[in-house]
Amino acid sequence: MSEQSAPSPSPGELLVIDGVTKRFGGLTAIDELSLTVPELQIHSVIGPNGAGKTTLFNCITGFYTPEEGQMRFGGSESLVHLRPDEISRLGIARTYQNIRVFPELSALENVLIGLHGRLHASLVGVLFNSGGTRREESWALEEAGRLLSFVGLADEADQMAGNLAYGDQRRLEIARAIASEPRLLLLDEPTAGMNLNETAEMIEFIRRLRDDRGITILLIEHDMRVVMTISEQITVMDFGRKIAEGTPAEIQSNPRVIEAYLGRGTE
Amino acid sequence: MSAMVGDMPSRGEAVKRSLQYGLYGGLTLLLVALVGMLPAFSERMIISSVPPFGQGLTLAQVVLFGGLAAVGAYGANHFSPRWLGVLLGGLAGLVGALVLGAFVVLGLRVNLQPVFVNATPRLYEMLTFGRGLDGLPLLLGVGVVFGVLGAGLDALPRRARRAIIIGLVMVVVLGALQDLIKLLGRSEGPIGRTIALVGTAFERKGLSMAGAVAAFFVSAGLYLLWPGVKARLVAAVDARPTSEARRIRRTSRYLAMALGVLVLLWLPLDLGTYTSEVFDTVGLFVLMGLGLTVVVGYAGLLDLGYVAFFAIGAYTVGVLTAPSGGIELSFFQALPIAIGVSVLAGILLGIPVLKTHGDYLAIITLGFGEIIRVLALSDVLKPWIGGAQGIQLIPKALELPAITVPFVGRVELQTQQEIYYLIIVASAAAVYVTWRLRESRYGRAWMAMREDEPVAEASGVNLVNTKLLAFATGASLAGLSGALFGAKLGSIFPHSFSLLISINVLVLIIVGGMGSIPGVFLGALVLVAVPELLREFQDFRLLLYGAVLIIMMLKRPEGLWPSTQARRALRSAEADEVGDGS
Repeated sequence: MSEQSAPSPSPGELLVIDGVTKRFGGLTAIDELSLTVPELQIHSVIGPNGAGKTTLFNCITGFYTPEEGQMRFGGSESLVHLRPDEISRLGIARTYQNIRVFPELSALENVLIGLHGRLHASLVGVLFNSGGTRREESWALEEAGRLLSFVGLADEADQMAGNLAYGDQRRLEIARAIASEPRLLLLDEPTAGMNLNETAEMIEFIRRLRDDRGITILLIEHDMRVVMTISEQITVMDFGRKIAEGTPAEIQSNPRVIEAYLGRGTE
Repeated sequence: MSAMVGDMPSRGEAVKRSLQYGLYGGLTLLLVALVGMLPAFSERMIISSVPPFGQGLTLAQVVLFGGLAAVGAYGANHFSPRWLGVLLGGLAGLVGALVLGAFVVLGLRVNLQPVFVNATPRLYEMLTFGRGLDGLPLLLGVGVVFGVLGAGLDALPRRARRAIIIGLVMVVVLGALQDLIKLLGRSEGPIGRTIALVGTAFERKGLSMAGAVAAFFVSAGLYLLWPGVKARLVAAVDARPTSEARRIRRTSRYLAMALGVLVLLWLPLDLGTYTSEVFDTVGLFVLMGLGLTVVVGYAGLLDLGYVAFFAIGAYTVGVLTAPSGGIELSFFQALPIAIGVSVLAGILLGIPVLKTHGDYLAIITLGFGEIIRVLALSDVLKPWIGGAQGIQLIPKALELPAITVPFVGRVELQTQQEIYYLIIVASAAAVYVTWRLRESRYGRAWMAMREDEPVAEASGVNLVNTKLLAFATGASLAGLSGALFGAKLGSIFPHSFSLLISINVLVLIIVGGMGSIPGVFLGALVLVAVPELLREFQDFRLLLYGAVLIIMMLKRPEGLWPSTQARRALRSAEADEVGDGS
């Protein structure tokens, strides 16, 4: 299925995944998957539970190292064998399927940690409270405040993250992720557990991320209305393999996708 | 004690419960008696003469009566009508006293001493108020009375209850610390004279009746009046224009800090060598507590072998300065090396444990602490660090000339007093470093790592550097503490570096409030100074540690002086509880 490959990405291609395989013991979670995300696209990955979508995210962000295949980001940087913090510094940020804010820290502190990679105060500077350190700290506080305003949480800055409402925690997670000024944002089921209103807001918000901040979006989503509304390109996974790729209209009429979702006949 | 209005037990259930608490309480008191606490405490007279007890009120009796009152308070736990609860408290107290009485009856017939060393005739005498079997009705009566009092206290409104408890605790604390207060009151300085004023409340042994009553009302009154006074002061300041109000607030804060520093600097001059020695020990534990606050409190790395770095600091200074080492540097030349070696050890320990978490990390560090102690004892290193004989003749750190101090006169400082000043400077530096790091990107990285390691890493935190920095910071402060320890004692032995030190430091940061810098000071003061000053406690130190920890974890898990974060968590938890009803 995955013949097309791009050994070195052409200028418009931000993320190129080429023949990636990830195994856990005897289980092949991702099987020779190839995927290309052009700059400024909103790209969705869909598929039944256990299709390997979150494993793919974990490979891209460095939590897992794939056994085979290449992953290249923004030109020629290879992502394989980089640590998660190095990948974060390259400009890839993510959110998690089950929200993972730092529960006992305030909303502001959560965002400040997202800024970590952009701060450079040295130990000596910190210990002697040098002018540079002070300026950087006050800039970080302002920037964190701006980010909280951007996601609509300015009034909750001092609240403990674990106590925020569910939807607010999702937005805080995104604020923390975009604090690192990523070029690519991986969103793992951003509308899970949200009602219709909140979902509509989230769709709008994701569009703003792309349009206002120039962030390319790769997202996993189960809610088909969301996927079909927001995506420009959709990749469908099943049993670790890519079974289809195309625009929302193409995917909706693809027989293999329908089969994967509605179940196969007994063989 | 929160009123659990929701699940009011039936009367039968209530009686059963108070009997149950009475039994538990009686058995606990019996345990306290059998470990020898009561006889040990019976030396300390709290109030010198109280008519019903003939002689006076001893600390042992306070423990006994307080225990029975607590039994009553628990037995009566929230029943309506109130008078029923109070009666049930009396019942619980009676049951508690019956347990003790039964023990006395048994003990007077059968010699229990082969099994329970502390079951001496003296103990029976104390439990029966010196009257033998005839004292039993009195014991039971006391049980009922104090059970009722305890239950009655529990039924009072919160502020009144607290005021009474604070007043009573003050009386007991003053009585227990009387020797110290009298000793300090003899000194000629201003602090000594102030303390001597408090000393007038005492008779030859224990507080005078009038002194006790005064102490009770003064402390209870202060508790009741202070919030009002404070509110009025705050309102008065707030009424001023904002800029002026801010200035007043800032000035008063600086004044309070300056006063605190002045008192700290003055203390050893005024209070002599013994108190200085106690404060030295507190200071050494403060230094270690601050270091462990970084490792455990901020970075969330549970380190049970923390004493290793303390030992490394002490031994490095020992080897480099003592004649036996053949190098004979001065203390201040050796100090940076000692800190450097500790940091190196911290990093060396850190590297292999980078991938371990929680309980596994705790066990590895536990092993590391033991390895260092065993190495210090071993024959292999004996030529350099002396094995079991340790290192002797470590020179003094400072040699201050005799000076003339206003109000005190000519002062020639002892080693304990000189090192006190060094410890103060070191603690100030340690507080500064800890505080700066906490408020920086490094501190935030620690906390992120503590909360969720993978997410911290994905947010750009380099886990290797962050963990090693935490270990290194913790090790440097413990090394500093160890170096001062070596110079203070002049000789060091392997057995000074037991696991108990690691546990003590961990306990003091938990009791003080995990992650809180002022909490470290409070925790060290409570857990090091108090047993030191109350000599009777020494034998029961571990028992009391256990009790203090259990009570803290149940009643105040955030510590005596919680960190801002812990306070925030607590506040929102309370808000949640209130919010549930709406």
